[in-house]
Amino acid sequence: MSSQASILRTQIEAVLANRIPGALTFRPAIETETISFGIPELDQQLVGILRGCLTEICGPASSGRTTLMLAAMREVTQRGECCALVDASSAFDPHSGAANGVKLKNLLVVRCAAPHFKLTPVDKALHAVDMIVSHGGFGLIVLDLGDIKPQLAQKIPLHHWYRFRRAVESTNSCLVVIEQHPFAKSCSAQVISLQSCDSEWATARDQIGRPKLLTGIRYVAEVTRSRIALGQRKPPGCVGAQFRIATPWAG
Amino acid sequence: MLFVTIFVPKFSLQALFIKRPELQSEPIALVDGTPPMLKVIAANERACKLGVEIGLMKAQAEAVGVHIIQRSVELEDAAHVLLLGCARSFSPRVQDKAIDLIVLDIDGLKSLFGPPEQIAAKIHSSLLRERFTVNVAVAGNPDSATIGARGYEGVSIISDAAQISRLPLPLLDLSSAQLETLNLWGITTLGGLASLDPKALSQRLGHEGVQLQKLARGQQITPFVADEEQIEFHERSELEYSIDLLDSLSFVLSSLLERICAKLKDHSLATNEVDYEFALDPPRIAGQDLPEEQLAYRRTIKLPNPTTDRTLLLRLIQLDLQAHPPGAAIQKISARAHAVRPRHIQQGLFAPHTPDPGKLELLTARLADLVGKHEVGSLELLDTHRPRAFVMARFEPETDPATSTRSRSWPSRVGLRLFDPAKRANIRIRSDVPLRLSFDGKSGDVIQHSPPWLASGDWWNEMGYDRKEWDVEVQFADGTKAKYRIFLDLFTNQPFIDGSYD
Repeated sequence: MSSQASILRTQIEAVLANRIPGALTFRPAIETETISFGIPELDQQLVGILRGCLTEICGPASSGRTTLMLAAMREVTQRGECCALVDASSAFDPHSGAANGVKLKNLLVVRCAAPHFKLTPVDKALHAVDMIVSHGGFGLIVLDLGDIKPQLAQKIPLHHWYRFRRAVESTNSCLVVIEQHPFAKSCSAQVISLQSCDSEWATARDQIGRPKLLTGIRYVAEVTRSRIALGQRKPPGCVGAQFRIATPWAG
Repeated sequence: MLFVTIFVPKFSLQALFIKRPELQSEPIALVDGTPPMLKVIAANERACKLGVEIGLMKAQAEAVGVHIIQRSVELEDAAHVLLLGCARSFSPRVQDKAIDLIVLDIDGLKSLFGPPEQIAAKIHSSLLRERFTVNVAVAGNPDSATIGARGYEGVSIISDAAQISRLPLPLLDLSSAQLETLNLWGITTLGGLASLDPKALSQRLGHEGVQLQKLARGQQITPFVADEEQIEFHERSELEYSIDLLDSLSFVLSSLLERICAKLKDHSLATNEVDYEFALDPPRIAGQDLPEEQLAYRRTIKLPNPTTDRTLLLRLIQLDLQAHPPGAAIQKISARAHAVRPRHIQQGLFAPHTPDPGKLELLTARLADLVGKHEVGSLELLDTHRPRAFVMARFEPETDPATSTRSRSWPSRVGLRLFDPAKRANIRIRSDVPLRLSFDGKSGDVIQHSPPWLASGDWWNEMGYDRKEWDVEVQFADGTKAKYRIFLDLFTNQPFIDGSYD
């Protein structure tokens, strides 16, 4: 029986060889490299962003998604690698990038918000990611859907996520999606959910008793899904970290 | 140092005979000028025997029965390119002094082409094969070589000043006043000028006289400056029928680019700039002249990294054509590649992985085709306090491993997400205190805020701004909180949300 099964498997693999090499062959999990965030509290608790995988960073407005994205970009560009940002709503602020140490020369920005006679910003962003992923050579590819309404982002067909996952899995690139809710389902190797905890305002007050400046924000990050375990596997939902980020003018 | 000068006598005529050799057996006079004041500028021996002289009017030359031809600058340019190409095949150090005069530095070429006499003979025979009749002279400095080439026919070796002493004075490009003065002194040859007392000559003819005497004595007065090698490969194709489909055009372009890339590879060169030009065939109305821009279409493709990849160049041109289609069917196609040295990068084992520079240009062109030319690239900050002061620049990453090491550690800072453009909002403000914020169908109370920050500038141009900014924390009806940067445009008194702190 087992020999018949192995013959059948060989025949199926031979037929599919051109389209899916080794379709039924078990591929052992390879140790995955990671990119750290450069935020000590976060790096101690989370494994970082996985290379060769799709990672989703999700959360509502002001939950720290952009700050986390900039931190990852800084880590990649500062070591001389290139980074690509596909910005569906043209929300990237290069001044914030520069304040976070992102090397703007090594960052390819694709702004998709300009009106198009046929394609929506999301369509354009998906096409752009397709091109960049298949080109290769970028250490980090970020698809920013942070300001896209969840009702629209939910309509992205699953085959896009599946294709992205397949395209990056044999490369050294990280594909990160910034969004309000996770949509890639099983295609994402890791989902990091973020929430804003509280904001810090300078305690010194002016003459009429009002606080002066926004000096920092406290965020909570939690890994709500992780397919790849590094070292000891931790149950999803249990890995979380609280961290504080200062505003650029806070010193 | 040894130099060779190539001089082409009657260059305009020779340029004509290269293109139309059958005319050599006829009496030919070349005319130039503005009609009806056309004058003879060159004539071959047969025409001279019939009495044609330089400066004769066209009608007078026609009267003696010579064949009159208008001078063609295009033919002369083509002949000059041929001449330069031949010279460069012998030495990389070439100075293009005039359309009919080229100087080569032949120092160190002995092992390749033999002694100087052989080099000169080889240059002479090589140009003869191209139907040029030239004078070639070898000398220790470029000025003596030039005088020798102008003065002696065929190949000559100028080893000392005595060899040029018998040559006539007009070879020195004298002014008519200087020539008249020297003739009055009875000096007609270079030897005569060389034998004069320099001090006395200086008193009478000044510094220019001394310089002329140095030339006559076989000394160098102008330095040899080798031209920067600007090699271009040019291919063109004339079509029997006009093309109006991109597929058909790509087929023709592909063969043109293939020939150019083959030439580049033959010369161990690559290109970083390709100009392509189409002659268009727009629909015409009888008797109406169309402007030049409707008849010709010119575009340039620039690459950050030199390449010889035909497919890459073709794809870039296709994308460029899709973005900027020509306005009519195409009759003629020409492509010109500017040749440069290929760039070789030695990758280190531990160097970071970066995109393939050759294909990166194609990627950015494809992305530009998708989202627009000004929406792809790397963002550059401008040196101003104006909000959103940045421009999109060409994406040219720093791939030098020396710059890829971490120079300092950067702390993370709260990032701002911009609303593009700034979002119009209803903001209730009382005594510079924002109280309530409504936008996109949701509203919330401001629970924390900073005092207003006044910013203005660029009032002297149309980019002027004058605004009052606040950082606010808003609590919406559903209990969620968010932080925004809001501002009041003091020109229009309209409130906006600049972005959210995220």
